[in-house]
Amino acid sequence: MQQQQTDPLADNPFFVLGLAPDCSRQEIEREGQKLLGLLELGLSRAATYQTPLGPRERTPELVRGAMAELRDPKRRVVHELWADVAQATSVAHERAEQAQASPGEAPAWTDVWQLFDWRAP
Amino acid sequence: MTSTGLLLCGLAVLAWYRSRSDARARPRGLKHVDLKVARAHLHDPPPRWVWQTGARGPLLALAILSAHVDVVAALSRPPVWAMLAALLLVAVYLPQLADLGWALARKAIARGYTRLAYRLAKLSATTWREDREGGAVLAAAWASYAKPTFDPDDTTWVEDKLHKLPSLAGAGVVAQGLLAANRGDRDQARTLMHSAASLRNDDTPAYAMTVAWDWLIADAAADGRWHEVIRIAAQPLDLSPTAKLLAAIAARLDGQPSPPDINLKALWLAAGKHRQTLPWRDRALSCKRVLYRQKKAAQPATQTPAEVSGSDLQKALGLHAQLRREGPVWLRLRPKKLAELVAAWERVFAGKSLLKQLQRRIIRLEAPLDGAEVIARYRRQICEDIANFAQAAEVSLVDAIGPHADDSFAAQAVYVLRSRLLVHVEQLSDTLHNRVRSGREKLPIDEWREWTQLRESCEHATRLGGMDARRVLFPQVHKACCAHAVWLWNERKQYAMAMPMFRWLLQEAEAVGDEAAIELQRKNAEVKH
Repeated sequence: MQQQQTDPLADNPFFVLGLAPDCSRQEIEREGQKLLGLLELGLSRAATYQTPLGPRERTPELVRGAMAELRDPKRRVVHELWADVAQATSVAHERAEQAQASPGEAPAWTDVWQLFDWRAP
Repeated sequence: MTSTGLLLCGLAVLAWYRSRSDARARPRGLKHVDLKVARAHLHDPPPRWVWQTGARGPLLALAILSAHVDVVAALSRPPVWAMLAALLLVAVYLPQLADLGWALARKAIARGYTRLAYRLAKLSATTWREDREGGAVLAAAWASYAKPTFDPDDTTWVEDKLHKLPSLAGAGVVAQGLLAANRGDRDQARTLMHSAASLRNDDTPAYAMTVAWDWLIADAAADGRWHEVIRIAAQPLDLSPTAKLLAAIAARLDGQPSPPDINLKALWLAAGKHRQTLPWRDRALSCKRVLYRQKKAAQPATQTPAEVSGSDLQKALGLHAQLRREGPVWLRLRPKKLAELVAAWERVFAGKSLLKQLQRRIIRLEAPLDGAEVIARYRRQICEDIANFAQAAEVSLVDAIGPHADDSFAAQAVYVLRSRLLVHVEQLSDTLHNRVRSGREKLPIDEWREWTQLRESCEHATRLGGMDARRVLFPQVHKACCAHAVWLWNERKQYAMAMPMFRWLLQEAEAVGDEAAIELQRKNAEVKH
């Protein structure tokens, strides 16, 4: 049996729960339960969470997994190291957004297939 | 008199060109020629017939002109002359008449008549001369792909015909590629179309390769990968007029050296489907023509470790996150970023601050942990992530980071990537070898697909892992692939499929300098069936 591979940046438990790396155990439990309740009610403000790679979808499974990960101190310290990225990437994130907003390269010719008598995929 | 003179001139040019191309096609023994030249001949054989070259158009025009002049002149002469002139005219138009089957098959393909296209393509006397069965299956696969919606019955029928081919050659592989594209599996189609290029030999009709290159060019244009369109079209290939137009448009849109406006318009006229191509032609014409490749102005680096405030760890993480966010294509264009990232992590793991920071947290959490052990786990995760970057972006980590100490972080990252690549290739070659030893046969196209997968992963490992990986892999890959190719040749009589395998093994043997393997594969590559 192999454990399911998680992305240390995008699925970092601190990002999933929206907490700082130096938060206490009580804060983890409180925030986790709050998020599970919000997700149960289907509230949109709990539906996504911010990561250095952009916003991701938050699910009850992810929240439960994040709480379990942070209860184990061995795993928590490694997650803390990864979560240190948040401050470092704030500037980079803004720049990436600016770059995306600027005009890009030549567009794709999506219906080019017809020229050769092929169906577009 | 004038027309006969013109025709004689044409024939002289033809004979000269034929002798020239024949001389180029036969290197005088591989032992006495430059290996680079020999390899070029093995993988890109020059055209043997003048009809497969750029001289086809002018010669045909010359012959038609002279025949018509003769007919007009013969009208005022005795009937014998008129008959001779008429015979000349028939001789000129005979190649066109002989390929009437294919001309009609193209009409059937455009309308999606699979079975009719199959039967008409079989009548083609010139286009599919080398592999009529394979050409007919290709026509059927193309017609099935031309239908407005996916038809599973039709596809099954074509697959059945494909599996019944007595010997798989280039046309069969391209047909399988079209079937994969028809099912929506573009990755598989791309792999098969690329692999068909290695089947180029006397058994492969040139038109099959034209279809393959056309598909690859359309695939790149449909995704907006104009660079890729230019790269394919830059090779000495027999492209269709539409593909040539796409290449010219791509060069304009991408700001690369491109043909003048008049040539672009001529290509547009030759390509057909004018209404669909007109907006793109105009769009390309509106772009400024570039005559020479221009150096791009230096852009300010979007993010470097020095720009990010904070500790070494935060700087390294900032760069790490940036590479993840920008994606593999961005990294492929900037392989030095990978070196910057590795250097940033090198600084993190060389310093003491990470251990101190970790020990503070361990005390705060009151956890019975060893800081060094946690760092080792973290370091391993980072290496795995960097190996993922390099693999996704197809960047050679060894080349990007350059020389490094054996106990450095860079060495560990290289080791993680290399072992991952080697394990994958070894698994594939073991599976192939075991199957060949037990004599378990697959359909010819599946045999080809399995070998293509092994060859691609081997080349991928070489690109990313460098010459060291290539040398380590060669003995095992050679053993498995050689056994497979010999089995296909001797037992299954799949000559067209086995020969490219021998050629590829020869190329690999030469690259790693394995004398015994070079000698063996030279003999294999020169065997005639």
